[in-house]
Amino acid sequence: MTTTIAPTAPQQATHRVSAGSLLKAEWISIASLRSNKLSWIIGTALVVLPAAAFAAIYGAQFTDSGQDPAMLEWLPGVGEIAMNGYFFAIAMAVIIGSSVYAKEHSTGSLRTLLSAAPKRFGVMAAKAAVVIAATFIATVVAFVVALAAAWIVGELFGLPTNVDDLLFGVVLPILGAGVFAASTAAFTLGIAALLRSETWAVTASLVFVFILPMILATLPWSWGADVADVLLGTTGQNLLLAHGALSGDLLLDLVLTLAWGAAAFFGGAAVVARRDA
Amino acid sequence: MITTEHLTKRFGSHTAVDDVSFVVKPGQVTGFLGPNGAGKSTTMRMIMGLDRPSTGSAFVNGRPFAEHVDPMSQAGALLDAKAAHPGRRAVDHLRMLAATNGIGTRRVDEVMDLTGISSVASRRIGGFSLGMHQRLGIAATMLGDPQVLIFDEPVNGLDPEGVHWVRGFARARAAEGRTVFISSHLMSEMAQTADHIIVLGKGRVLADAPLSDFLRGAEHPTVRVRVSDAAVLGSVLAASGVAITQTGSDALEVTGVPAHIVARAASLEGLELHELTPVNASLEEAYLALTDDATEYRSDSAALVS
Repeated sequence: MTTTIAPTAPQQATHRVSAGSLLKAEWISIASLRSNKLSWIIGTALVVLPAAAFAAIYGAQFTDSGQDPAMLEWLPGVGEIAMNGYFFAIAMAVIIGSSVYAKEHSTGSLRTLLSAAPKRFGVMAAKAAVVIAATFIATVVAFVVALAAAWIVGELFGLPTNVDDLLFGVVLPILGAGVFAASTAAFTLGIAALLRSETWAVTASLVFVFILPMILATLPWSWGADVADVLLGTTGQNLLLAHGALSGDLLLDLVLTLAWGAAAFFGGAAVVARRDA
Repeated sequence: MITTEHLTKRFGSHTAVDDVSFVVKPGQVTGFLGPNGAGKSTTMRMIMGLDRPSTGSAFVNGRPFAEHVDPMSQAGALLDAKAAHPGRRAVDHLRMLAATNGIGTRRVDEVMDLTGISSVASRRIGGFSLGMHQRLGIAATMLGDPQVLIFDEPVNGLDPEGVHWVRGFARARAAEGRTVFISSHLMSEMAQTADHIIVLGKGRVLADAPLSDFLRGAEHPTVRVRVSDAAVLGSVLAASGVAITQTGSDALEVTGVPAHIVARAASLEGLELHELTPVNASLEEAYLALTDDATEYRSDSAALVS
């Protein structure tokens, strides 16, 4: 049977899909789940606790030495101590990035969402924007609290802050941690969209970020170390370090860190746009 | 209005939907019938842009659904009642969906009232019964107050009160002038709900007609007769070429002629009629006759014999 489609007259849409509406919906989606809030709370605690614990350990050693000034030569500053829990911040980003797509897919919630907002790239872009912003802010807040904890605990033991340059020794590493975590979340979102499995997305992302660079770096060929140097895990960790000044290497690490997140996201979004929901 | 044109969906070598064309008109409930695996859900997913057709097109109000700038005002679809995150509260699920189209929270409250789930708005969806899931799904379809409603097996697993509610809801929305498209494999349900029937079998449209025409088209008028001399009446009617089955010493089933012809034949022979009962085909029988060769998964009829 062949039918002729009579185009309907364009109607004045009162409720329409826009970038703002999708961002708001995605924020409700993420913020309305206890599991996401719990991930952020636990992630923050696991970032703060190592900072406080290491400050206490170094402070106790410094006190036991009779506050020997020679120790200050090798004792890390509070900025470095605060970054000790970075692994947990990245793990939190991986879990959130994965759940934003894979959990919504496995529960069928994503299909319901696409029935309401069928343009898939817009939905994926909103997911990425919200997860990137939320992860960046949550990570920066976690490390600021970790810095405060390390500072306060160190003070209790009379440990000097040992910070030469506030911008390059504290502020940029914390912002770098935020960028590393946010890019990792976008990376995992893209991997989750490709694999459609929360378990596999988390496993693949953690292996890629933490295990693969180590394995490549230990290979007996120079190319292994060269490749490891440009992987997300390595470039991201370089952003956490205190730098004396802005350098080409630091900027390259920043670009590569962002590029890994973008590449995985666009790859995942392209597949989602073509595949049956 | 929903229109499909030569809609086809292949999964590898299997053709789930095969060159399906139909129009679902506003102001009536259109039942979408077919056995399991007939391609009903796949067709509905393609209409909503969730599955991509291998060939052909589907239109909602004249455009592919994904091309509307206000999709929730065009169509609402309940394709899987359980397709919601179990950890999310019902009100948050609806708020999230409403927000995608810039719909405010007042409308969320309205649709919860409409579907009777306001009292469970703050409960997490994971704890919902199937009936509450269905109501939540239907509430979501109404957020944009759309002209087109698509429900895939909305009464599956519901108790009688739930079935009655869904039926009344669908009829009321059609009475408002909306396009209501409901899939089901429950023939009895469609007989009470639908105005128009589209039957799918093995991915192809087997029938597309008003319910009454569908019944009439599949009907083979049968008359049950008890008469003083069945043999005489049988021989008279057999001469006119109708099918006759003797079901007792004084009973016949005559297929192919209406009851008044049988009565006149008995009268002309001076026979005494004890019973003359027209037997109409039910929707179930009409459907089974239609889909007999198009059933993907067939049960063993021997299992029905104890």
